[in-house]
Amino acid sequence: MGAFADRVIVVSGVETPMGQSFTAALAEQGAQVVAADRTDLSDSVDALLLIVPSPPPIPTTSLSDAEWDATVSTSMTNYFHLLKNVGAGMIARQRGVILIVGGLGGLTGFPRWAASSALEGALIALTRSLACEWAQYQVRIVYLACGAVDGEHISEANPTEFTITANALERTAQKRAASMAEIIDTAFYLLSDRASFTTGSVIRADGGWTAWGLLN
Amino acid sequence: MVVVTGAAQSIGFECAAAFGREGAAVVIADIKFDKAQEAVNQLDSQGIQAIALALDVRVPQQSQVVVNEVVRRFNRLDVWVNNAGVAHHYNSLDLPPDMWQTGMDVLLSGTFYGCQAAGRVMREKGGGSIVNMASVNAFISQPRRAVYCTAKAGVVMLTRVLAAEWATHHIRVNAVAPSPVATSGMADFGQTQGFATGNIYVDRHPMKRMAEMREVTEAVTFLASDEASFVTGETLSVDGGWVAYGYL
Repeated sequence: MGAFADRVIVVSGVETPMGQSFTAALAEQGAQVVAADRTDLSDSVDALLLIVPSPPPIPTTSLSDAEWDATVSTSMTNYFHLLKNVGAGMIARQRGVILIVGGLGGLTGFPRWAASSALEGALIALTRSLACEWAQYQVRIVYLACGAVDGEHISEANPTEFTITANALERTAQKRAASMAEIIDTAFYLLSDRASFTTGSVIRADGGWTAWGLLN
Repeated sequence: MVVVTGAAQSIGFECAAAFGREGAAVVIADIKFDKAQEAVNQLDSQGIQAIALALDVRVPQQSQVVVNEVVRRFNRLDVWVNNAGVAHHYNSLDLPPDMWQTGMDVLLSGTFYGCQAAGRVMREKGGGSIVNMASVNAFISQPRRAVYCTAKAGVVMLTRVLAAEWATHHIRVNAVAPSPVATSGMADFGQTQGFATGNIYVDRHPMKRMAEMREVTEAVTFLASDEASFVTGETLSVDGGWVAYGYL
């Protein structure tokens, strides 16, 4: 019996490294994981885990309309439909947790990540609004803002990303990246009933990135 | 080995009990030593290893004395929870200077001295975790609570500064920001102080209820644990959506 035995958990972003790690960890804890792109989403969804992909940096003057649309408009519309559909089921059952896992772009400025930062900022606003709207139905929604995560942002296979995050490790107060397991541990706390009075808020697992205000 | 300040009663006591149930030895540090001893007796009866130590958090040396005593007895200090507090409600136009000073001394300076004393030994021992008690009032103002709101906002920034400063010593520093907990004292509090009824507090929460004690202690034990090993400088809201809410 795992921590999420018999829970139905919809995961968006399963294609990302983080999505794959979460899917495996949730299954290990007994959850029935359902990919969010399924059109026949179950009415009995206990939790929705929305993993926001982290795109590579692009100077904003080089960002095409198509890229902006894909990252901001299309994503936001897809998330809206997903939240609306899953949320309706949760409201009907008077129970549910939604956890959005993203980066720090909605909280602080990252040059060349304009589109993904705009998306994350919008998702944080959505977190607050939906939390206030759905609290009366015992549905919680929380945003987990991650700093550099090993396996998600750091990859030997992607030297460009690796170069960026080598600096990112220096910039992190803890001088290291998170392991995937650390992010999962914190996410599992937020998904559990232990966090039953936490809603509409942003929790940072960033190794002190946003607390840090000095030069490297 | 966990130290909780202001732990003789209420949230502090429940935090200590929660750590104890997870197998930790706990120190009940409180300005009211007799009450601290009573709390220890109560924990003893639940099979929790606990000791009482006198602590007036306003006096910097006293936090250091508590740390020294803990290290002498147990040779370790894993978690320090700065919970001691006072709550004043007073018209700011007439607020006496000593009331302002006491509030700042206990809530903000006391938290710093606790962090400093705990941080020194944690650095020496290779790491640790500090949890500070903030409040929704760190983010949300309330008339007649100038000292409390200001000091709690200070606790949030102090948490971030120390997290940044001590991260490389493997010391994490976080805070919990609860809204009022549904204790028997809280139910009467607003009415006796003449500023709010329990219902006003309930209605202000999108969840339409007040926090349960368990929900606050869960957040404290979570932040203190390795489950939160990449979480530092953070203030975790336990407020049923209070801070998120901006409507009528």
